[in-house]
Amino acid sequence: MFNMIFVILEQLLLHLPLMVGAYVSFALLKVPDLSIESAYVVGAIAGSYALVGMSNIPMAVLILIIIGASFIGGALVGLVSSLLTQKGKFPHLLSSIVAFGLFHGINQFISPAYMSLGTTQNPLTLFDAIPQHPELIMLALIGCCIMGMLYFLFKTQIGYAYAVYGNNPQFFKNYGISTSFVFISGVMLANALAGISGYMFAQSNNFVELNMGLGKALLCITALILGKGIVRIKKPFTLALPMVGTAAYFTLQQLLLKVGFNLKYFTAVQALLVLCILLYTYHTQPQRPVNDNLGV
Amino acid sequence: MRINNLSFKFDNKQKNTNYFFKGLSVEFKPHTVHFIQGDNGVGKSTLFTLLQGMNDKNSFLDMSVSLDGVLYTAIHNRLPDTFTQQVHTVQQNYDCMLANQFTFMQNLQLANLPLYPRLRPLPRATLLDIVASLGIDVNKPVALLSGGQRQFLALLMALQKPTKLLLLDEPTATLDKKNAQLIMQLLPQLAEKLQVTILIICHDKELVDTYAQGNSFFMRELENGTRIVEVM
Repeated sequence: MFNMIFVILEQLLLHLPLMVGAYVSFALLKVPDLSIESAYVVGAIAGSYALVGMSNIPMAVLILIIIGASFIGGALVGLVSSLLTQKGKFPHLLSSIVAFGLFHGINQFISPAYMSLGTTQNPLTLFDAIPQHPELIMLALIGCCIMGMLYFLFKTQIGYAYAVYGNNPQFFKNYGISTSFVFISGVMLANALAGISGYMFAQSNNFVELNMGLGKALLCITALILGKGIVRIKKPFTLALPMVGTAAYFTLQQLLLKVGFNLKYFTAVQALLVLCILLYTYHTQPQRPVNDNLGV
Repeated sequence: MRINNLSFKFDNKQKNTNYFFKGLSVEFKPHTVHFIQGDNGVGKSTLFTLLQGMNDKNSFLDMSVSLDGVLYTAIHNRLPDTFTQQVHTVQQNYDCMLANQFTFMQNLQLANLPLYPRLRPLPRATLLDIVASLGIDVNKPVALLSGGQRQFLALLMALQKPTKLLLLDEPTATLDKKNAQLIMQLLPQLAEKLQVTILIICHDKELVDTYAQGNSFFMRELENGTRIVEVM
């Protein structure tokens, strides 16, 4: 039982930056940001290259550099997809698909299809006080830092602006506020956070694989929909939603595993779950906002 | 405020396009509410678009505007930013100016955001004395407000940043008579208190007759296709 709780906690912390990023793009900005799948891989590759290239640096400093590299790697994907949307005037779904293809090609050029991290030191084990879960404390520290920063961000002008964009994308042009700045910075932040998660996942599993991002958007949507169903608050936005949603998602996954369910079918289960919830929402709330088509 | 020699064509690239406005000049009393009437398509909304500097890049515009003693001349077919930054608009569809999930007070604060929102708390709202006099619960989400309250909010949001010219496109079109009268009674107070000149497009003759007090204009199209503005 305790081991299951630790596993859920570990999975929650590994995916928390990705989920908070997805919350910013899917739920606040309300854009179908598929580029997070690409940012997840680019972040993993950037972090891994930083790890391999600077392995002689003390681990406490190295982890900061690695997280910075994966943050920038992810943000770069977000920059490309959001620029295509804002300056190229493409729908964001198309922009993120183009960005995905573009970065997949770049990844194939700069990185092997499978890169092992097993031979290098693991900065996530810097505080290995729990022998069976040596990465847990470091992951918790990173998660707390990220959540703390976002808690602060959501109390500022830019945090509110992200939520306003999802509520009414036309809002800003009436008051001399840059819509492009709000959109581009929001998508960059979302993708940058996905990049951090990508590195942490790769480090935890000791490998980077070019297809490791596939299905992450569906994972995020499922967790956010679960979070939306559980967290009932009146505020326009809250960090509790992605956190509770992620915890619920991995609890459900572990419970299914416990009763002998084969996890290779779990993607189909989560797709069906999303489908059922969306069908229910669409038919019970016909008056929902037009731009609320993602259901999160 | 005075509009001088306004000449405008929608498409500057086609040589045979007629002028929509040709040498139009009109003067408005400063810090006063003015009503502009006219048939649909005569150019009232186009005039507002030009004053906001939102006309198409391919159009042709030659005009100058003197506002509070300063003369602003159109450059590259648009009025300069130094003028348009002082012009704010409340559109007929005022809902597109509001963020429904947020409260009345948060909307006022959000309208005051700078060009690039920063890592700082929301700015303070202004005109709180007027908000208090309206008796609206400022902590209520906008989605739960009535049409009249939302119209008041859109109006106050447009005035959050420094404004010298306020353009209202049929502000009472979706309101009942009582709320329309409340808005009309508030506007002269705002014009005087904030030293702002207000232009209103209005098709409701009864409202114009009641509240115009000699500041009513009628825009019409002449047989040769040009537009004139007559004082009524």
